[in-house]
Amino acid sequence: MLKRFSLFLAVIALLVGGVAPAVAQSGNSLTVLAPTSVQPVVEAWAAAFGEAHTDVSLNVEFVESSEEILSRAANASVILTDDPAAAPELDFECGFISDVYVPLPGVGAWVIASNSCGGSVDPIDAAALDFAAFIVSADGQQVAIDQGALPESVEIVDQAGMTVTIPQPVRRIASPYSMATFYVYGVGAGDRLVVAGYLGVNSDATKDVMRAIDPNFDALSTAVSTLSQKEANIEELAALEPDLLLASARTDWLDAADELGLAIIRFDGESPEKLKEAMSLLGAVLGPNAAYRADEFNAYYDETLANILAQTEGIENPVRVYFSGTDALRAASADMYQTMMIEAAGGVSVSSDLAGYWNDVNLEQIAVWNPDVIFFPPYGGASADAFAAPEWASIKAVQDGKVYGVPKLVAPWDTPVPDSILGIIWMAETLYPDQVDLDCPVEATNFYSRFYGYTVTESDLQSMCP
Amino acid sequence: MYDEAGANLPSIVGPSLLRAEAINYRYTPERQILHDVSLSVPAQSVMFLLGHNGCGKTTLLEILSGVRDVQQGEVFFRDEALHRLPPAVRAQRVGLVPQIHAPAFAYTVRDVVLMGRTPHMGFLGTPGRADYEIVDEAIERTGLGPFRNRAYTELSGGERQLALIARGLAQQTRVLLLDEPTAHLDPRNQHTVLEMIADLASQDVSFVISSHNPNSALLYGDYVAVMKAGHITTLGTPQAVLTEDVLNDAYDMAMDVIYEANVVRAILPRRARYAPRATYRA
Amino acid sequence: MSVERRQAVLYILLLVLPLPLAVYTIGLGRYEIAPGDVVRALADWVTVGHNASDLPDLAYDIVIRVRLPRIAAAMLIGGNLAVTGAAFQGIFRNPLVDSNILGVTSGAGFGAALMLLLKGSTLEVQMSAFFFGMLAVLAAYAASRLYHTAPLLMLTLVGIVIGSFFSSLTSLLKYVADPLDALPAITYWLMGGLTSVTQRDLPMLGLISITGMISLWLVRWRLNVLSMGDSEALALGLNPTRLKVIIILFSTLMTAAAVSVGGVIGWVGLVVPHAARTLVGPSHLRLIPATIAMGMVFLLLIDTLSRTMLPGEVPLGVFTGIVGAPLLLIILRVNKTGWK
Repeated sequence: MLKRFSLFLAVIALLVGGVAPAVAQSGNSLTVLAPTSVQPVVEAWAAAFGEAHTDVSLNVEFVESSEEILSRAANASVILTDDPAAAPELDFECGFISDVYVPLPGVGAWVIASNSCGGSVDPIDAAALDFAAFIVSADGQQVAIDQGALPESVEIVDQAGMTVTIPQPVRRIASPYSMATFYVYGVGAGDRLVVAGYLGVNSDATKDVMRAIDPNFDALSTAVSTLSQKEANIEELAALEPDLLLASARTDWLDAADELGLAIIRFDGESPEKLKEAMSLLGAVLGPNAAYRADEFNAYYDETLANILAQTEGIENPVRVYFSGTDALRAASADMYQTMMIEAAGGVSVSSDLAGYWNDVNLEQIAVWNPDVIFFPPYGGASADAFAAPEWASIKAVQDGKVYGVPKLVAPWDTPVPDSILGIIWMAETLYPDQVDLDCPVEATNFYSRFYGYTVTESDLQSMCP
Repeated sequence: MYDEAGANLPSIVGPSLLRAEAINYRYTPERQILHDVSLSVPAQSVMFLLGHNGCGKTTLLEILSGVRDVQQGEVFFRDEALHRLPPAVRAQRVGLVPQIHAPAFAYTVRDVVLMGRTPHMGFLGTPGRADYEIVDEAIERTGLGPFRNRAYTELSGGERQLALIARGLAQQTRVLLLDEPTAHLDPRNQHTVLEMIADLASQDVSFVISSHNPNSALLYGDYVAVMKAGHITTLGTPQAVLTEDVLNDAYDMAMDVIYEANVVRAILPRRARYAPRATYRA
Repeated sequence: MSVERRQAVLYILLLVLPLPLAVYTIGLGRYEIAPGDVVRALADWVTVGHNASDLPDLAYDIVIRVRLPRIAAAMLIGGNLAVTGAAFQGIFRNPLVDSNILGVTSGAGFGAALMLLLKGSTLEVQMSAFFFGMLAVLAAYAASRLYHTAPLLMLTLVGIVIGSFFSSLTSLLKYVADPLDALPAITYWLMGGLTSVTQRDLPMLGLISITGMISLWLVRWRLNVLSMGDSEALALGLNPTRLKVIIILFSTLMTAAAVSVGGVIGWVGLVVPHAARTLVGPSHLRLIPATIAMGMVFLLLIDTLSRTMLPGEVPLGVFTGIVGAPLLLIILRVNKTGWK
């Protein structure tokens, strides 16, 4: 019967000031309004949360329908409904609507919001956020599993085609695959990392951004002395007792990790489909909130890509782009993500005849291609200086001054990380400044706020957008 | 026996070409290899050095050639102190013919012989027309004409030894020192090589030859020096010096010296019970 | 006599072969330029300098700034590696060594990898490669002086040890290198290639190569004598130790210069001297000039294939191995008189 309420919006409403003076007197007291359909789980959460937060008193009330919840919203601070579209109806004077979603099987999405006006450091807001963080955490997931609302293990097929059974919840993630680390942040599970590699985070500026995204960055990036695709200190890794290992399928030491009985997800492939699949895989194993966010990201990616394609498709005489690699004389092959990005941005990669990985080419071959635009990546020895040498002077892109470095905030925008969607926007704007109508600063600001919880600064935008 | 003073060598005649005076040599402070060795090599003569393995023959040859530095004593070529000469000049005075070996590369006989001209070229010199003429003449004198363009590595042991002697000739020194030139050669090749040496000595070159065969010294030598434990024990003409006493002492074994009409004809080891069979019976 | 004459003619042809080949290969490339335009570019370059005629800039740049430096570098490096291989085979009396026996290439490889890891400029990478190449051999030489027996044998052994040591250090650098950053650069560098050669690489390479080639040419007779062994060289009035030190010094300089520009290009120093011996005989009088010429031709041909065959280049070090190894087997089969 409860399944028919496909969407419930739960609102925990806190009455403050003139709205609810009685509650305001009680200080850190949260009134939770929840539908009766999920009563056991919510009660279990409240109990578990209460044990850990003795300074907060939780007052859980259950109601039968979402209409009733909305009607009582003025006297509560959080509304729980099966209709996320109802969230905007919560016309709060202040407080927030959390971006935490807990879609339980057969119940629906939960939104947590606070209707407290306690000033800039509002203890009620903080307590509501703590509660929200708790129910999406591994502990909260464990409570739901104990109540039978979530499965005890999940079976997936990873990108190397291997079937992996992963016990739930996953509390400790090791991510030696430095691209997968960003997938983890993307699905909002960064707090479950115990060790991670960070692609492209090698300068002070990128480290500062990464510290803002995750205060534990320094500890996580150094938790194991040796951890790369080539080699890992397996014993140090094992000492961290990870529940899940995120690896590239080409990682050399996976056999040894297998011996330790670690659950491993192997990622492989460079394409938008593989990127979205990787996000979904993480969503499937990191709990309902992660699954929700993975879907969110994939929908966002598809929508944004469709928007770009709508503008770039049908452009006549597409710009011919040379994408150089770690050296000016190294060309991206047809199989690489960069080539797909250029095509999505409405350009043509001059080196799309090449196969494999990076290819060494000579300047004469580049003269044969005579590209209109040159892109170089934000890693390796690549720099604009290389193209300033006299040998390059007669190449069209150099003559026209159209040599551009692909930006990055943390991970390079030309690699198959979530940020790469911004790379496509950047490319389209760079190639067709007059023909496309995209907004890199707005998109970048939204993207980083939404998926990494990071507020982009003005100087970040300066360095990222054309 | 040899006069310890070393100055008067009654059996050696003619002006000395190469002279060693009171040579002492140690490889390590404890291991003295030559003791107060003095020696004089006359012009146009063949001198054999006899003695068992390790008695210092090769070291002495190396010091006489100037290849090995002296520690005590001095070697003179005529009036020049050999070891004070620049290497190239030294190599114009005295030549050393090593034991035959296979070089790493298959040079032709002519290439090998041509190397003898090295001391006569300048610092960065290369062979000129005159050098080739001298080389071809040396090749002819040693009877290697037909082998001139053959690979040295394809020659027999005797032919290689002749080629090295030709190289010594092309070096145009007055003295050639040979280290066991007949080792590993069959009797015919031994004879060819030593006859060639005796013949060349009668023309213009003196030879000093280390050998394990006292009969070679007897047959082809003008003089013989017998060495033992770093000393020259005896020096003189083979006929005068190669007595049973000298040989027994030199080799630490009993030797028979066979005479024929008061002339020494052969030297043989003495067996305790020697009973040659008269006929062959299977 | 006719045999000798025929050999003399062959020898002369061999010596002049690099020149017409170089002229021919200037006309070849991925970018099609009419022979007439190639000649005009060269004429412009020789006479007035930049682009006196109405030749398009791109064609001029490709002929003068891309092909010419690369052809020159291929010839200098080919000649370098080949002649130092021949010289080392002579002084080490071993037909199976080349100038890397004392660790110069391994040292240079480490130097380059280190600078690539530190994100140095092209020039810094070259200087570092050169410096560590020299350092490896000097270290081998200094270490070998600690032992009093058989100096050359000791030098070889210590050289191999030092070479392995630097190879291990290079592996260590590759191991710590970021797989997206420095690692591909190091890997490509170690495979060797002339893709990024420019005019700016030529002065140092040219100076060291030509000085070195002339020096080895001057001592070509002495190499014959040295190859007979120290005691014979000594008996023939040479100072073998001093001479070898000089030859090793020049060869090491040359190899380090070649490696610093072209990366690790194997097989040239091994295969070319053998091929040259088959054609002109083992005597270094002719072998040294012939080896220089054939080294030039060998690398020029392979590099021309490498830069014209496919849009993506085949790494030169890989190519020389693929061509060199079977070639060496054929030479070993055909040649019965090259060495013992």
